[in-house]
Order: sequence, then C-alpha cells, then structure tokens
Amino acid sequence: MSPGGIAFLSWKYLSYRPLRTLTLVAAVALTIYLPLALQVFISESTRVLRERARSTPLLVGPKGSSIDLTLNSLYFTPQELPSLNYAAFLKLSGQHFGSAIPLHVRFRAGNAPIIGTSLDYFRQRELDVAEGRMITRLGDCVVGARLAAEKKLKPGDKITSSPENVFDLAGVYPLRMRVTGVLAPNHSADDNAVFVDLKTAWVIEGLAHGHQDLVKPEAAGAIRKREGDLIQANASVVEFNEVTEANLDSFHFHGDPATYPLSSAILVPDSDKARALALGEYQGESATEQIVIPLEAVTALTETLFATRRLVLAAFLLLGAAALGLAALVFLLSFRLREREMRTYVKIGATDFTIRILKFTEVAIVLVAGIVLSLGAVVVTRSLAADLLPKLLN
Amino acid sequence: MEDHRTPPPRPRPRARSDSLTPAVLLVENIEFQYPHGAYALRIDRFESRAGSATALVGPSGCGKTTLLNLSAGVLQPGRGSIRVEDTDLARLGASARAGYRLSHIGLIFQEFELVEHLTVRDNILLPLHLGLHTGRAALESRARSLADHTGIGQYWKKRPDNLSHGERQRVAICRALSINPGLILADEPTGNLDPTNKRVVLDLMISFAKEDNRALVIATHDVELLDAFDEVVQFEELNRFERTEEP
Repeated sequence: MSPGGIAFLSWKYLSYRPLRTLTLVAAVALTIYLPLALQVFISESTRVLRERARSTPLLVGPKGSSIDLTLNSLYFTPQELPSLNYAAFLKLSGQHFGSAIPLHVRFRAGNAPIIGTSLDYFRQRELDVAEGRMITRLGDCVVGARLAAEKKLKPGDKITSSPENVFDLAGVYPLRMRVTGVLAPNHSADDNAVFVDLKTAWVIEGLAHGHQDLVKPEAAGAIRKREGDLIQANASVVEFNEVTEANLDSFHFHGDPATYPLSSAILVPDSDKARALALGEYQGESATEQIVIPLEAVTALTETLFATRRLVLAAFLLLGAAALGLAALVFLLSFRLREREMRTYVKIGATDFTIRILKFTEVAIVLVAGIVLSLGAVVVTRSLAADLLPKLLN
Repeated sequence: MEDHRTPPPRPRPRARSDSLTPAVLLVENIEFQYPHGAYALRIDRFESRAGSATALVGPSGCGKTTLLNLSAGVLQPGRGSIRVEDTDLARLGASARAGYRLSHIGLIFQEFELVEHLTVRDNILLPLHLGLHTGRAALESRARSLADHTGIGQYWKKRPDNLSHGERQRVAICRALSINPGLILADEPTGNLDPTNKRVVLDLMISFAKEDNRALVIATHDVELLDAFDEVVQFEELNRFERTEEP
C-alpha cells in the first residue's frame, strides 16, 4: 500500500465529483459549526453585553421593562417604553448623585440610530474622535467608525435623518446634519451610531425649527396676517431642514422644555453612598421613573439566552445527527456504485486492506475538510460576534 | 470516437515455443469450486511459455475467466499449484498474492476497466498508486513511452471518456505493460471492439509480448483471430471436471 497513492486516488475521486464532495463537506461543516457557533456566539455575546453593562453603572428611565430600557440605552434598540421627561433628568442632575448623561434614542438615519446626548457620554464610553472634530453647534453630528466605513462618511459630509413614517405628512421633518468627526472604533453599538447634541435630537423631533425671518421685507409674501407684533405666516413660509451658519440663529424651541422627551439617562454615581441613595430614590412606589442596574438586567437576559441555548443546541444536535446519517448514506451508496472500480483495483493488485484504507481516506478527507471549515467559521464568528450583536439586536 | 486508423503490419509469429523455453505460467493439478458450488474446475496441466501467445478458447461462461483469475492469484484453488515465474501463488496468502500480482502480472479486461475519474496517465500508473514499490520516475517514463508507442500519448492528460473504444483498450494494455510483467493475462480484450480495432489491439499485445519475451494468455471466443496465436487451447478439453459430478 502506498499512502501517497491512496491519498491521491481518494482526492482524484473527490475532486471529480465536486458538487457531491462540497455538499458532504458542507453537511459535516454545518453539523459541527452550528452548535459550536451558537456556543461561541452566546458566550461572546454574554461577555460583550456584560462588559458594556459594567461600564454603565446605572440607568434611569420610564417605568416598564428593565431589559427594554437597558437594551435601548446600551444597544440603541428601538424605543419600546414611553419617554422620560427632561424635567426628570434635570431633577436627577440636581440631586448630585453623580454625573447624569441624557440619552435620546428614537430616530434613525437609514439603519443607524441617532443618539442625542451630551459630551459626557463620549467621556464615559472613552470615545475619541479619530478624524475631524467633536460636535460644536446645532445640526452637527459625529459618526461611529463602522458606520463611517460602511457609508464612506468623512468630516464635512452630510447625513440625513429618516422620517419615521413616509406617509405621515404631519410627522417629523428629516434633518440634514453636518458630519464633523468620525469616532475611533470601540467595538460596540457606538460604532454604528450617529451622535448629535440633545438639542439637535429635539430639532428632529420637531420641538425646534428654523424658518424665514418674517420681519424682513423679503418675507412679505409669506405673511398671512399682521396684528401689531403678532405675525401670522401662511403655508409658503420656508422651514429649514438643515442647520447652517446662515440660518443657525433662526432656530428656536417651542413649548415647555421640561416636557421635552428623553429615552433615559445614564447615572455615574460619585460614590457607593451616592449609588445607594440613587437606588433608594427611585425604588419607592411613588417614583414615576425606574432605576436599573444594567449588569443585573443583562444577567437576567443572558440567563434567558442560556435556557434557550439548550433547546436550540438539542435541535442542532438532532439536525446534525440527521445530516451525518445522510452523509454516511451518500458514502455507502457511492461505494456500492463504485464496486466495479474497487474490483478493478483488487484485480490489479490492491489488497482488501488497501481498499478499506482508500474508502476511509475519502471519508477522512471530507471529515477533515468539514472540521477545518467549521472551525475556521467558528473563529470568524467569534471575531465578528462583538460587532454582530448590536446589528442583531437592532 | 472510434479509431479507424490503418492497423500496423502484423508481426511475424515466432516459432512455436517448445519445452526448452521456460514456462512463465504453470498450472498443475488444480481444483477450484465457487463457494456456493455453482461451478467447478479441475485442470491437470496448463502452461504458457515466455515469448508465446496462447489463446484460451471456449464459449462464454465455460470458465476461461475463472482460470485467468486463478492464474493471476485473484482466486485461490482448493488444491494444486499455480506457478508464475517460480512463485507458487497457491501457497501465498491473499495479501502476498495481491502484492505479487501488482508487480508481476499484467491484466487486461474485456470492459477495459479504466477508472473514469483518472486521466490516461494516472490510469496507466494505477499500479504505482495502488502501492507498487518501484521507481516512480522509471515507471512514469516507461508509461509515457508505451503511450507514445501505442498512439495515445496525445491523450496523456485526458480522461478515458474522451477516448474511442480502441484507444481505451490501448490505455488498458499500457496499464498492464507499465509494470513490465513476465505474464500478461487478457480476458476477451477484443470483445468490445470493431473488426479493424480487434486486429490492431491483438497485434499490439502479441508484439509487446514477443518483443520482451513475455508469456501472453488471452481468453477469447473470437475464432477469426486465432491464426495470430502460437498456441490455441480449447478450454473445454482442458477442464477435466465431469459435468455429471456433483460440484
């Protein structure tokens, strides 16, 4: 028996039937990959979730599901809970438990969430500007590293918020924002987000706007009625959908700022005592907001994931056993069809042992290729899990 | 694609081999019976000498293939001896017989038995891939020269399904000759060929056998080709098994 010759003959047959071989390799690879990838993905996701949760000491938000609040604040998933009043945020800030960071997570630019926040957020997440500069005025934004790479965004480019409902003519206007900087990657949901100042988020919300100065003579055509200082505009008045240096001063807010909405607030307590006080403050039944320890919410979530994992794993193992059974059947049928070829080998001078080794080698090549492919895919999955998680959650 | 080339001139048959020429194949007093008793064979003596071409003639199913398989060591007789170049195959184990066959006996089959997923080159070098311990370079060079000599060199890297019947049979002949065997056993090698190619292929085998002093045994029922052989053996006369006997 010549090991090289046997390997050569096996390989020649496998490469002669590429579709069959690839199907078998794929069946083996998937059988191994799916349960392994699930394990890896869940453990990596758990690690990433816990890491981000750990770097977010406390969250204050409207009452409701603590997991929804956590996922919305940490991973910018669509907002499921009612809004948190700005007044509640001001109250939280005024209690001096520590640093309170506002979060407004409602709008999107395409698939990317638009996060209205303050500069404290970037400090808390250790997010630096890799290119360009930080937000300086209304209408500015900085974008996450992955989003910038995907959309080929750079400082000076524009990005427009998406309307929530294209059929709602009374809905929010899209705002064209100026990209002033691209953030350094931090392999989290931040990499795929657009960050604006909280006021810019409110502009998108429609709480602030800029329009023609109706006092100026050139706006005469847009005036419907003038009674002393009161000017009533008609529908032809131009409303700006982009903040520029020229129209910046025309932007103004309407209504009571105390009622302006937020999604939540991150609270970074100054001390353990402040933390305990904050927790106590929001745990009374009369409290209209809830305080959440993100690590606890994430732990509850991952426990659910682990419970689900067992079910999915069992399903994968059953599927894998079926796939391997089918692969074995394909091999058996193939060897039966090739009996004449094997008889020829024997007549020429191959021993029965050589024939067995030849068959074993073919199976081994397919198995090894499947295992290598699946392990390679698992490594890739592991490296992508951190980046994939925010996308999956969104 | 059929091969319609003009057949090369037939080699002049050598003198009939005599008792002074060594017997490459010597079958003596063998008895063989298939496990389920469907067929039995008893032969007192059958031989083939170096440089001679022997035709084993008989109707289909009479046992010619069984004798060839016994002579090649594919089957093991119940008793008796089968000597190929002084080695008694009947005394060897299955593995040793296979090893001996791989390196000493060239086999040619009616259906060519080429491996469809291998190129002409790899089909001819099949004994090497199956474990023949010999110099790869020397065997490859010999295989290439045989392919060129038989007119199939141009198909060296092609698969057998691209070749005509005649060309496929030549590949099978080259495979049998690649190991430089002392004994060539061919089972109805011209059975699937048209009359022109039958003669071409037969002449080719006989000329190769005679040039290098090999023993060639061909099982055939093609009576019109018998004039090319040094010796013609009627298989039914050779087999001493009485049909009335219980197998």
